Amino acid sequence: MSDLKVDESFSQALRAELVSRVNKTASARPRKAARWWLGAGVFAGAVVLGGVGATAAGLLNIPGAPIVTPLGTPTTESHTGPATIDLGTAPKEAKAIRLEMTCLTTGSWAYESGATSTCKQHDLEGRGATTRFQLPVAPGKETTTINTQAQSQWRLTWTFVDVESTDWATNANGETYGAENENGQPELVAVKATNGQFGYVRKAELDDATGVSMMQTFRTPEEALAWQAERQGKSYAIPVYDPDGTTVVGEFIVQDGNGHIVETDGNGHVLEPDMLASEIPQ
Amino acid sequence: MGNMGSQDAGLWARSLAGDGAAFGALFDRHRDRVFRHAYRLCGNRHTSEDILATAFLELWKKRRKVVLVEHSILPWLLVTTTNVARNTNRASTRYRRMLDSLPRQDEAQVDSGEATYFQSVLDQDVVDALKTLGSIDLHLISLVVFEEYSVNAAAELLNLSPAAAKSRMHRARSKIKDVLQPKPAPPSQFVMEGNGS
Repeated sequence: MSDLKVDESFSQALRAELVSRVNKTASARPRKAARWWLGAGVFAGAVVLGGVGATAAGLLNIPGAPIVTPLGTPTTESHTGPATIDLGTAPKEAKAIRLEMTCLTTGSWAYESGATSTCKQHDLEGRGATTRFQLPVAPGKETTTINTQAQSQWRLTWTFVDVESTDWATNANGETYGAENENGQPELVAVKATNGQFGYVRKAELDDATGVSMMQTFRTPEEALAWQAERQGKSYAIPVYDPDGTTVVGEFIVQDGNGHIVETDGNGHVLEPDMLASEIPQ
Repeated sequence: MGNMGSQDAGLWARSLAGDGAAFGALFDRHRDRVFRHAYRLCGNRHTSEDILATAFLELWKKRRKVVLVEHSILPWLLVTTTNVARNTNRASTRYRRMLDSLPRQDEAQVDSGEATYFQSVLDQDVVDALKTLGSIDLHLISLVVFEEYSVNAAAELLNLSPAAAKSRMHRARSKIKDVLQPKPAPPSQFVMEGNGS
């Protein structure tokens, strides 16, 4: 029975019909009314993430952030429409592949992990045009497929990397601190404060401010929408500390309706929040 | 399964906001399991395709009423799939014109080649056994036995108390065992004919 597969042409036609139905409702009424976040963090500031995010920010000294070393030179290919990319054979010591998808036209892109990104006209000028993500190296897996509209143009650059994970540190009070990574969040989560300082927010305070604990309890869109409506426009400031968890070095603002949706790829890696900002309906 | 599920929430939220690509990704993620479940219930490929399509069309049509279980839409889809499979004619009528417009492999191609091995005698027995269950028991068996959800998660979706779900599960399992077990020996000439010589 596990060999049973849907007829591919039937499936593709059905998929196209479903996608078009969903898109049609988007143009029919304002998108904002239907937005709700469930199980997705909502941040106005950027939480410093393990993986690509921390590396890109040059924050290798944050405990828990992996040390990523590029192996060899990047490869770049340009495509129009959907494509399956031959990534080549990974060097022996490679643990992951870092990819950067840059959109050259407007459109939507869907990745194998289920994550998607969208480029609008104004993204093409700024850094919203680049989506960074990371794939694990798996034996025999040398391709990745990116789906998009037939006329969408894009460029993919990838590099094999070695990834060495690091552990969170513990302060004098016995609290763990560091970057969010595949083990989750430590008690003090690395963030960038509004004043540009890097520091740590208390996970409990962050969860209260983002409503993560509340969101776990929603079972229907109505509940989530009501909760969201109540919070709409409000912002919540929480202190940013030194690793000691006591000295305040700045503040971190959590604001609804103005946040980033934090997504993970299929392997528990968190995609950078700022690259997803471009898809939030304004 | 927890990992998969937790990711649905984000895609589902974006689908509700009108992001077709997100809904497409949910389709990609769950279509095979929905299709296999439909096949398990009806034992026919083309009917399973109709059920698959109807389940996803219903998912979108009834999106305001969809309940996530463990942050996943799959349990809701499976329950809807079961309902559609039980009621194929009426539920699919709503989408008949659309279903007929989708491209299909023609029957001859399916019958002559790759698809014939899908339907084993055992499959048919299971299909028949499942037909003896009431709707709620069938939902429970589908979620807990085939898709490995916890009894509590299934109970939550079906508005049952965990205790009620457990005792229903127990009865449903015994019922299936009863239907599957005491068969008179299968007609041996069937096998002989199948072997040819």
